[in-house]
Amino acid sequence: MAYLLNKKDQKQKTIREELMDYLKQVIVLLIIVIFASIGFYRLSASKSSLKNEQLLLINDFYTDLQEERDILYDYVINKEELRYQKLCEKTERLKETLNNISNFHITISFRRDIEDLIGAMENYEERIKTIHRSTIQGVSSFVIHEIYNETETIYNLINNAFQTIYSQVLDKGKTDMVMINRQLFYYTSILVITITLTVAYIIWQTRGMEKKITHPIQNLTENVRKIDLNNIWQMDMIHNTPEANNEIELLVSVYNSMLDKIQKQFREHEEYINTKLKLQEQRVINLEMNNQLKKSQLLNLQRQINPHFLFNTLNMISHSALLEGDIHTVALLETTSDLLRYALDYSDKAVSLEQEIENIGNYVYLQEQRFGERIRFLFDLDESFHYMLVPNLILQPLVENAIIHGVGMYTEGGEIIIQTAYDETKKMGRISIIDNGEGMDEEKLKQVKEEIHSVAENTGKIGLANVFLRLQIFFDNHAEMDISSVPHTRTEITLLLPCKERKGYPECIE
Amino acid sequence: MKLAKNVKWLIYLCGTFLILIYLYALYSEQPLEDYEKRFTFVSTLRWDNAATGMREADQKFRTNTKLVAPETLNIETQIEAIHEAILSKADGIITAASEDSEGLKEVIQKAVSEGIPVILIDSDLPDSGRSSYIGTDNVEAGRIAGRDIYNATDGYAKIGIIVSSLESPNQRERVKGFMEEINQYENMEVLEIVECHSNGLEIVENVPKLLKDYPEMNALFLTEASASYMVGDLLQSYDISSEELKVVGFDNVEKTLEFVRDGIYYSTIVQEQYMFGYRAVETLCRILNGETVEDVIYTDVYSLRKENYEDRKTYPYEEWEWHIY
Repeated sequence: MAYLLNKKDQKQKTIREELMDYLKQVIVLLIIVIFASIGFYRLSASKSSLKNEQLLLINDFYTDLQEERDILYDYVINKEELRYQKLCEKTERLKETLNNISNFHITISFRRDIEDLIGAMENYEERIKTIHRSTIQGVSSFVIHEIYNETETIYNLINNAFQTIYSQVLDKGKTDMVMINRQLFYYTSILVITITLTVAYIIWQTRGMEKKITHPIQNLTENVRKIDLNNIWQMDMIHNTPEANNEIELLVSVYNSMLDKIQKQFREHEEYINTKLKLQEQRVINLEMNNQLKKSQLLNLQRQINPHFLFNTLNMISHSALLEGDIHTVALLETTSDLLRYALDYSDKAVSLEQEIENIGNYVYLQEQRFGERIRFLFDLDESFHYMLVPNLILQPLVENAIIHGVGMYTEGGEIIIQTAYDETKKMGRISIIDNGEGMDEEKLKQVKEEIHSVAENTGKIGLANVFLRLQIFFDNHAEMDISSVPHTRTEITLLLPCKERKGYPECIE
Repeated sequence: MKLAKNVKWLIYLCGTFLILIYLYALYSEQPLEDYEKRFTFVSTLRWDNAATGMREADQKFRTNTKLVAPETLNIETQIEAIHEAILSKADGIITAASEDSEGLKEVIQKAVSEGIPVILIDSDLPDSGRSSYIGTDNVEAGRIAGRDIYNATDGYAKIGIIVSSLESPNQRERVKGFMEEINQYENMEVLEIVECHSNGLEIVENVPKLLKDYPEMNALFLTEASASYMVGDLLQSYDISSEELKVVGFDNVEKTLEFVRDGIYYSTIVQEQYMFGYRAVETLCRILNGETVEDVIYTDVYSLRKENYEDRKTYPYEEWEWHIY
């Protein structure tokens, strides 16, 4: 397995790792965004809360100062000790307020102004104390009024300075607002940029994940869902997306090979069924052929009736001729009888080719008697394969054909050659019946050939077709029959019968 | 690998953004500089040269000097401003004696009696009880001016003098020094001394009148800054060449310096106003530390001509916000 981990594997991560990475990134980015938001919130909160507090304090100071002045006036006129206590309290409060105000970090000159005010306030307090002291000591009211006037001066000073300070704070507030707004804009835009970047990055990453993991898995799932027994051999292989994660790639390739195997098995199965079907078909054909055979046998039986009758009749005539001393007729009758016997005895049996040729000899003798010099019969035989078994009466119809359709009309010069030869290459015995009769033109030849090969049509006639059918049945479709013809010159019917080897002697010509 | 790089890059970027945010926040709320003593400078005009010196000294000695200037010069308001400084319990007061006035003397005495040291700069009131005087030796300055006019006219001079006010001690001293100098020479005489009170309108009115009244006048001594930076333009508009009229100005206002550089004025008497401010704060600190200080501290004064224009001393200059009284 380690060997299989090629370079590509080293670069790529497993799904688990990739998901962990993704999670880590998202968490880090979220933390960044949260921190940025908190920082932003704190900044904006601290900026805006300052001003209200300042204005409130300054307002407090101003009203307190007014009250203080009124109380002082009251005290100077009425000289009540209670008033003085109140004055002291107020003074303390004013000083405290000023101290608080001086803690505001506005500008250095603002702070300086406030400190000057504190100084003035201290002077004011001193004067009040002096007035108190003088009052207790019973100093003339003229002196007290003098000091009171001084406090008025200080009051005016404080009041004036305070007005300028107040307007300064307001001004500062305005400019600060502008600056704060600008800062807020700055922070907001940074925050927005950060969040936008983060979101964009997360989306990008998600897309990547989708391409790598989700999409290939979906693809796989869809393909798997489509599978059923009817279409499995039509299913396409899944193409691996190049971005896909390695594990998924593996999964896909496993799926592909599985699909491949299943499809192969399906194809094999299909072939098996096909051959089976073919076999069944073959069997049906075979049955049909057997049926044909039975039919022809029945036909043969029907025909046997006539020969038997004829045979008996012939025997009777032969006896009669012998009694009359007509030797020639007896010979004719005996030959005919032999022919008939042959036909009867071996009607449904296999005979050797030698017997068959012998039978043809009888037949030819009869014909020679009939046609005399008009037709010459020639034998060209290779007896080495005459031991082979053939169905009986296969040659007689052929010779009969040659006489009837071929040389029958000739008054002289008709010639029929019966030839047997062994074909070494095909391992077949060849039997040819050649005549120099009328022959057939091409059309007729074609028609005859068709007639021979259409097995089903062949019912009544004992002709070429019958011979061929019987041969085919006998040799299990391995026999061949060929007809060739040149009109008025030569017609040849050739039978090729399977025979494994030749035996006995070289051929002799008769 | 490729992913990891991307993450790093992104984190760096975001981190940088965050750091930027916090840095910006830190900078925008930088703490104000601290100080230990409160001084008040009750000036007679918006005197940024001296104020710059004070501010520099403030930083060095950890003090704060409040700059107070009048809308228009008025001795009553100046006295009031000093009085306010006393009532505000300032640690020290710096002012200039714009006039030899009893009221001014009284208020200075009051400050000193309340334990607030008072420094006079530029012009002195020696009998006011002030702690110290810092400024030009105005008599010496007048002498330098006289010598300049002597040099400019080869000793044959009919001179006009334009002063701010003869009530002002420093103007008086400058004229005194000037007179002392020219009285040494036979052929130099002063035709008239004109008071213009540093007022632009009066200068524009009186200077042409002076020129008209004394066509034989070939030298002009301007004893203060306002006249010095205005007369140059007037001469140019009346088409009076620097050959016809040798002008000696006072102080180194930008405009005045240009006139000297361009040869319209023969020279200008330069005082180190920056040093007035600086030394004033320094001296106040010394007094508050319990040191005894010199009664009079003179700063440098010299004649700036076209020839030594490039060698002039330069001091930092800045415009300040002034409290108006």
